[in-house]
Amino acid sequence: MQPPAPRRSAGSRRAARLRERMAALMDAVTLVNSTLELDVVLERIMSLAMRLTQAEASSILLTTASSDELTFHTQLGGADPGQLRQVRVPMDRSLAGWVVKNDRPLRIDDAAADERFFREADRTTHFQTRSVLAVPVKERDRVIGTVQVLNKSGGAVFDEEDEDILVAMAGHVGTAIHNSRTYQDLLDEKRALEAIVGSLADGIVVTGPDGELRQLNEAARRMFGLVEGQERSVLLEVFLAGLPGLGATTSDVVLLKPRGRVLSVRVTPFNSARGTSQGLVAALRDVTETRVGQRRRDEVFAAGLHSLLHCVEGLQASPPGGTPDARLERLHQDARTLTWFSDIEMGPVRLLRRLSVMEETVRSATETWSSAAGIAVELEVARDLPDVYVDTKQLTRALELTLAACARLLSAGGRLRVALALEGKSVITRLEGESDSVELASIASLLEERQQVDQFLSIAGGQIDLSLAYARHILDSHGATLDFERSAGTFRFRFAVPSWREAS
Amino acid sequence: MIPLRGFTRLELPAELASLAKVDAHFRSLLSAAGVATVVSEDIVLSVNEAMNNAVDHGSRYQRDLTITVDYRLDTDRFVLLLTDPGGRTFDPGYFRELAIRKDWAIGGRGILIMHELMDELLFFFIPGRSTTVMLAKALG
Repeated sequence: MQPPAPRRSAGSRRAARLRERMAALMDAVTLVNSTLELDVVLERIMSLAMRLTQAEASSILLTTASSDELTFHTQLGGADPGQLRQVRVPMDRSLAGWVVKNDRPLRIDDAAADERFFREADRTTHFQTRSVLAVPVKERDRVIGTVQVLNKSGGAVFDEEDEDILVAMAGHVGTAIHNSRTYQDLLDEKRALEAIVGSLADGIVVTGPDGELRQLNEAARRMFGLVEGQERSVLLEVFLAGLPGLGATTSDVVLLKPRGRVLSVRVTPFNSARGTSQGLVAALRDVTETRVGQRRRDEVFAAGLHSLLHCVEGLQASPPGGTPDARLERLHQDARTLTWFSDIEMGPVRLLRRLSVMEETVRSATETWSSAAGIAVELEVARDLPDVYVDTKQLTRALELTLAACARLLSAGGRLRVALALEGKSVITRLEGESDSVELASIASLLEERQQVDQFLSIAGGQIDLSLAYARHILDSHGATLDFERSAGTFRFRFAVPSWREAS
Repeated sequence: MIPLRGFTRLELPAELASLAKVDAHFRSLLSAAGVATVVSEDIVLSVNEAMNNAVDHGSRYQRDLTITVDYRLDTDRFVLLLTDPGGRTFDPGYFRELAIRKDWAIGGRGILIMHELMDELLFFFIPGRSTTVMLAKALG
């Protein structure tokens, strides 16, 4: 026969209750952080509260939007939860309402005797409320309802220790509700954003921090030619691989075949609140029609100008009446300027390159110019210069345009010094001389600009001169450069053309 | 352009010698894989055109610059990405149309050739930084 269990002292019973209470509170903390399913969390917290306070029933009541009523959110033990959900508890005629309005706990030993007691709930559910312990529930600092436990078992009444437990549990209820509402708000915002992105005519592509695809709206799917059920394509992979290099710029992706579309892409990086990279958002707009229209205008403009220039040059070669006409010369200059402008804007010069000796090209151009202009030239050439891989016809044209500028700049009776040398991997050609021309300053000041046409643009006598801009355009098409320097009465043009091989 | 999964990368200086290397590499690769000559010739010709554009117009024969070639040869498809660091934008559609109408001089038909011989042709411009052309062709 087993000996009877030793009777526990009041102190050890209190210690056991304290341990159980601590364990329950820890459970509640774990629960709040374990799931965002609010109903599950609240039911388990209230179940713990009932067990610890030895109550027959428990419930959570939350204020309505109008704040003059409370409704049952969670209910355990006693009545049918379905019945209670229909009950509206008035704020100013109920124990729960009193707790919310006063933001204080309330312990009632005999509810029926309290005039604040709202009897409708008991009548609806046939539950008989005796003792009540209710405490406020707060979301942050705002009271949003109450938790209450009803009818201490064995006919006893709730004490201060029960109140401490319920206050602690109400804190967890408030945290759980706050977390859930915050999460719900975020979900709602996410859904709204997805709906907006989905309805945009522009394509939207969102990638994560490692470049992985996060979102692709319907417009983007169409642009990449994805059919229903298809999630990836090589085209899309190529696009995603190129995105990180775009930065916050606008650029073009030309899908020439099979669809023949031009997409303008703008990429925006986005960061977390802590500043870490979260990925990229790319907005894509189909600009095919715009680009095609622009191309047609450019082509018509270019063709018209070249035709005009051809006609004017024909007229100049055999002027009407047989005498040169200043107006015809002006027309020729304007037509040529517009043609240069159009050619520069249309892109690089088409080159027919071949290996050549820079000295031969420079010598030929300067000698022709020297005899035509009547200006003396001193030519100095370094030994063993490497060949260059150029279109000699175009390079000669660039030299002729630059020499024409030299003729305007040189002081009367001045001579042009031409020197060829190797600097690094480039063959350098310098054209220098003395000048007292006012144009010297205008060229220098215009050099400060860095746009496609205007670097070598000069304006003389109210006329725009693009001759140097066009010379630079020719050199740029070769991967070469044309610079201009001046100092106290002297000027220098500097051609730098990449060498084909290092000098021996 | 970050490397793509499953692609093989070649890096070559922007010089004429690289054109021959690329030509030899893809002739050998496609032949070893048993790709029909009629298809492999289309691919090699298109790759050569793309490479020529990258070395000439993209990089202006500046040997310091590097051309990147990424490719993937599957059993049914060949995909190649060729990137030059020139970052010069242009309108490929214009050059394709121009080549159709053009009856003067040599050259200037690379984009038209690629367009006619390949199944997919894409240009990806990052102004001032790079130009990537993508070529894809079914092997069947």
